[in-house]
Amino acid sequence: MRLQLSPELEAFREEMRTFFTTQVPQEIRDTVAAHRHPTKEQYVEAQQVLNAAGLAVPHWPVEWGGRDWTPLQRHIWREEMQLASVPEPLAFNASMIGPVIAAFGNQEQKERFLPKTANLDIWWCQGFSEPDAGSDLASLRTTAVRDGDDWVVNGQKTWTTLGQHADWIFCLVRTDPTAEKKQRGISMLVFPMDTPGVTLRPIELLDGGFEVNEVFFEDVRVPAENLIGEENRGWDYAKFLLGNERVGIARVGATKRLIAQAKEHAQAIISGGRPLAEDPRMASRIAELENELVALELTALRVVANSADGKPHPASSVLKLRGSELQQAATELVVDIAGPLSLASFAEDGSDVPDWARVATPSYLNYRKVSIYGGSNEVQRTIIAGSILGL
Amino acid sequence: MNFDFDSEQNDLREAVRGLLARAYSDSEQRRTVVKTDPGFDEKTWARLAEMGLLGLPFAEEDGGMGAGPIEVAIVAEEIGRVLAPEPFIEAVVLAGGLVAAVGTAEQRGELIGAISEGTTIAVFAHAEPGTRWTSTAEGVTATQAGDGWTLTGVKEPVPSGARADVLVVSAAIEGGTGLFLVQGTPPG
Repeated sequence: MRLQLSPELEAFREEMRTFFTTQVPQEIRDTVAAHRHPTKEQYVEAQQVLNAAGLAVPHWPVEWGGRDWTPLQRHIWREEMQLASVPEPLAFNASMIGPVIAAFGNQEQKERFLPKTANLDIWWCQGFSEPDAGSDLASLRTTAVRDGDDWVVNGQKTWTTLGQHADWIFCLVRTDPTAEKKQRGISMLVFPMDTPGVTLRPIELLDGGFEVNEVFFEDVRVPAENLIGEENRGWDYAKFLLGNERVGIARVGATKRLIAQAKEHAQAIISGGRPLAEDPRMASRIAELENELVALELTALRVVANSADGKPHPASSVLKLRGSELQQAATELVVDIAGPLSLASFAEDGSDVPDWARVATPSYLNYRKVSIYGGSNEVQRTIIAGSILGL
Repeated sequence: MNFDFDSEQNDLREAVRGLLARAYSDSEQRRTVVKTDPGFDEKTWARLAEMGLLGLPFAEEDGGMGAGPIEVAIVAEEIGRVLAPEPFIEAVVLAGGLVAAVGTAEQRGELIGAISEGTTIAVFAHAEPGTRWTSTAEGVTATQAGDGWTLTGVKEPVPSGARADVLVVSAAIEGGTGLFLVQGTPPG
């Protein structure tokens, strides 16, 4: 097994690293490194810097800004971005609706949406989950009824991430309630969030932040031309889109950065008269986590080196499962290093407790989501049992 | 060895559970309370006191109920069960526990009854920025000044510190760590 990058790929890594660490504004990277939520303006600025250099949507078709890279190059691109604390291109744009429109939209839709989607001139949000349709997405009940040249949408979506910043929503709606299989009667519509009849209500999260929303639709009129692809084929597009969501979900780079920070904190905290990092139990806990992360990274590299045609490799479920577990283990580690200081979660400026300890618990709580989104870990175990282990 | 709870302990659990179920029947109620100063519900605190729970671990001669760690654990479990924000651990177990364990007869007489009745909230100010679960104090020092002591340094975080009537502060003294009672918010 060769674990070394070729000289060409080494050069590629260096090029990415140099770009990310010199071209993306330091203030934005500091915000991400400190586990604070970037503002909308910071997200937009970062993505536009990447897009101007052709680094926002490398996995798209070349015609629309893609780079025709190998899976390994894309992996390096993503890893270096995470290591440099660069906010990743908005997933709803870059990984979700963009590729769907590129693959299934008509020419007019591609021209209308793709350039603005890559440049974050349009901020998209995802209208999938509903109060009674989460992991069982096909049970969704939001309806769209044809009326002349419009679709009329009624219903409710929930857990709409960063919907408060969004200009447009891509939405799964039921267009054929009589379809024999519930998956068959679903279509994908896109429309502006300021369309009359759209109401957004923020949901306060466990970490005190406002990241997700409920979105209500009351007789929302959407022009027929805003249907993506074919009527009643929305489920296929959703599956295509969720397959993309799983790519890069291992977030090895982000966890590496978290553990590196944890080690610095463990040096700074004094426990029993010496740095906590010198405590044998703490040292072995960190070492164990790092070993598991190396194993995950090697698995991720094997998967990207062997995946073809952009199809999700079955092992990507392993990456999602272990990746989310290690992200959660790393955030838990930081809370434990902070110890009682992590209780100062919502302390105001002027506190003597360092910033990292104040965000430790909110970050830990926020990261509960990673074992739920992108197909919950229970769903991933079922996929592993079926398509890898053949059970 | 018998690990079963006796009937009194089961009754205690039922009573605490009932009281807290009324106070925190849904998470919205809890959120509202946590968001409003002092971050817990004074009325619920008074009811816990009426039930004798705030004096649970203290000796009867000091004004407590003379119960043991099992009873304290039962109350703590029920508080955790509904994530009730009342500072039972901070005030009763930690601060009250320290006064009961090492306080003078005078200090016990002054504080234990008041803590048990819920009229005084005492909290333990021990954590210091830059340390973690230490048994000693370093960042705050105490020096003798006339009839009293002068404490200097920063304790943070102090859970429920903003509401406390009395702080039990750990501070470095010559040859070890001392505990000091500080009333409310004195100058400095």
